[in-house]
Amino acid sequence: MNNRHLTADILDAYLEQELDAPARVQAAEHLARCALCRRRLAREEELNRALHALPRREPSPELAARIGRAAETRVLQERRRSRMPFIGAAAFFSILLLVWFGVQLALAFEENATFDLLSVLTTRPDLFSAYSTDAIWAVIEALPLGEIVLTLFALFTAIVLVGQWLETVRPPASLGEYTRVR
Amino acid sequence: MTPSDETLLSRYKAGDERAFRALVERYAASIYNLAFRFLRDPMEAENVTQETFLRVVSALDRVRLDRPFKPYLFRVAVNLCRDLARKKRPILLDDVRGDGDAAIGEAGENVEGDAVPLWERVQEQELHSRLDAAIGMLPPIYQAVVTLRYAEEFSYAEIAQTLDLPLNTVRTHLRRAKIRLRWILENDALPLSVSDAPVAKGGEP
Repeated sequence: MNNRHLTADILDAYLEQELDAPARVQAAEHLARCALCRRRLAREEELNRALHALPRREPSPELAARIGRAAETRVLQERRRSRMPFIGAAAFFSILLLVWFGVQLALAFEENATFDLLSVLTTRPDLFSAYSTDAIWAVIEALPLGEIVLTLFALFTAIVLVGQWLETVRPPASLGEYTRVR
Repeated sequence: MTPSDETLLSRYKAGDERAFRALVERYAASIYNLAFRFLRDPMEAENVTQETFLRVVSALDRVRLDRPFKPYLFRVAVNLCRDLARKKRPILLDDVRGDGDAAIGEAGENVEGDAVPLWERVQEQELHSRLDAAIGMLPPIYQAVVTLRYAEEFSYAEIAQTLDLPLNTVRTHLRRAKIRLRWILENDALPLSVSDAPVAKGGEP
């Protein structure tokens, strides 16, 4: 018969139902005989009971809704992030296109002598007032309208694509950022 | 019948946002409670709760449906709490030397005599407050096992999965955490323990 007191580990395992059957029987037999170990077991039980009874902290009622909204935003960010290589490539080519059309536009202005015409009209306002209708038509004909439209189109495309690319590369709000704004 | 976590997660992966809301409703309060015990700050606890679910959203493609979701979710929360707590908490001598348990261990293993325990001497509310404060003084890993075990009613196996520890390590941590708690409570209560007899070692059954 083992008269040694139960160790704290055995008592704890007994309480937590973690002992195998023979060890549990042995511990129960000892406890039946030993008032001191029963008192120690009771104290262990008290600590366990106190730990179980600790009041729970409740979050604010709107937390779940806030998480839902933040998750929707995060899902959108993740979707954008998955499209990042495509958007990045598209933004790059749109910038190349913009440069190409910009050069074409400058060449067209040069070829049509648009700036020369405008220069004459501004230095000789009497000519403009004498032949205003013809002067206006001359300016319109001198403008490379096709190149202007294409360049503006490329410019808007580049702005939109670069904007989207910047959105995708911007990292999502991290925990550090949440805590820093406090 | 209530759908399992894994079923809800699978539905969310398929695009059902109500399934995600159900998971949030199911676990937000528990994660908040866990985070509060770690961080002692309601706002940070809410931030950790939110970030825990957002991490799940971000890692949705990598979350495995053939493994229990609950330990995964709580592991994310515990890791976030530990990271934040590490930034906030000063380094304790125990952390460096690792002898906190050794110092307390002998007292914890004593076969005590007739000392009147703290919970027989103080009101329940005061006991809760002291116990809460004592948990806050534990090293983070002990806080985690105690909170998961007693506040969230996790089994030892679930704690092991959540903290990625062997089962025996969980047992040891829990045991040592309780020894420390008792030691902190009893030492904290010294002014009250005028009736305590000196700790006796040994004794015959």
